[in-house]
Amino acid sequence: MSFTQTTRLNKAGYFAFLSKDNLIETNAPEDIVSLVNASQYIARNLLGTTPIMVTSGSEIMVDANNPPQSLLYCCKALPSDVMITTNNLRSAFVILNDSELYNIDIGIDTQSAYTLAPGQMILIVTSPYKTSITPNYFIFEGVIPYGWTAEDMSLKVGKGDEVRISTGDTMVQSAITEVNLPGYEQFSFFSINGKFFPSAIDSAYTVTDPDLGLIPASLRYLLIVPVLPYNEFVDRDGVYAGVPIYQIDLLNGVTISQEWNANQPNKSTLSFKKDAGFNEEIAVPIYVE
Amino acid sequence: MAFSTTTVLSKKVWDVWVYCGSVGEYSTSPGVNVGQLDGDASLKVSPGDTLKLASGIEATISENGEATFTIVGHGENAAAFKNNYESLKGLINKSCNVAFVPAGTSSGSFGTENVKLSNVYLFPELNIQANQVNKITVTAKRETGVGTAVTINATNNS
Repeated sequence: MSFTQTTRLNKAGYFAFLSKDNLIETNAPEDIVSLVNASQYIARNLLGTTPIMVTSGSEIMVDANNPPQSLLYCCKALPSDVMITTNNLRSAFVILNDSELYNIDIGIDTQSAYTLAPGQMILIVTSPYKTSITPNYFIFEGVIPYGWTAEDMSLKVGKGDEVRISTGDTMVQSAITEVNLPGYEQFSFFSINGKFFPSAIDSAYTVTDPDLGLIPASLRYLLIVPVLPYNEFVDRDGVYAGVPIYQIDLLNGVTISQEWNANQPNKSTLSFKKDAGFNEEIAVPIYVE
Repeated sequence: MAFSTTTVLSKKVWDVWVYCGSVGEYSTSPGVNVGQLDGDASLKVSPGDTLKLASGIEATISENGEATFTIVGHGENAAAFKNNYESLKGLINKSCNVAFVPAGTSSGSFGTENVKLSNVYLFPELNIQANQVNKITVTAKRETGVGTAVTINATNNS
């Protein structure tokens, strides 16, 4: 490595989310950049936590003095109360309704905020911005944290096919978008209908849209989100150092490998490679203009 | 190596300027400063096609100008990085000039000590990897007439 004045020695981590919907079509960019703050909270506080199984009649109470103890609250039955108080609480966690029968009312700041249908899963981000007081939370439907890895996560858009034109020059026809994404599973286990699903992107995470036919799940969009240095957060204006959030349409071209080793976290590696026109939007940057 | 007062031992930092006549924001010489070189650039000019003359001698009729370089683009913040990359993508398959000049050279005063690659096609490659600096790798190449691919110490970039 040659040292020049452009060489930066700081590390840059990335976190990945999977989404059922095309977030840039359903949410404002100002909302989506809050995932930068959510990823920092998850990566530093909730990575590797064991899911909490919520049984009938129990309560989920989350506030600044009682921050979430797990990335995933998996409701096996109808809890007696779900109440989240966002004041001074910076967090991000997932609630899954695995009850099959009940609609679960989720209260945020003493008000009923969301009704979670059976099989549905939401990501709740509280205090989504660095300084803005409002909104004090976001709910992302069908979005799950996929994983954070130290070394191998990569996104590359490189040159694809070239064609020789009559002048003898070559023109570029396509670009190859490649993603390599090893994820250590945060959601290490839970069961639906008596079956155990150990995979981070198994059909257990699908909501109600099996028609998309993607891999084994309907989580079609991948979001690669930068993790800012400790205690640095992005505000509603979306200004932060680094790269934008990249949303990648995973339709076609995905392969997944999974590894299980005794006494090691389960690991899923998502690989995506697609050759498409260089002006097609496979990897879409998301940023607040 | 003899040490004399003219020996400079420090590394040089290079700015990269791109000119493209057919894209508005790049069409005023010397174009746009797209970033600084990260490490070394590879620049190569090799013989292209040859033609057999009636005399039996093979004459070179073209040369291949090629450069591969990596820039730490204007990535002060996420918007700047995105705009830098998106803007470079707009140059794909358009004829461009690329000039490597010492960092800090002001627009319009190239003077000496520069290398200019003329009439090349650019392709920017995005490369993002956890725990690595975000980079844009650019390849530039073109088959062109003999003697026209590279200019040393050009006075401008158009």
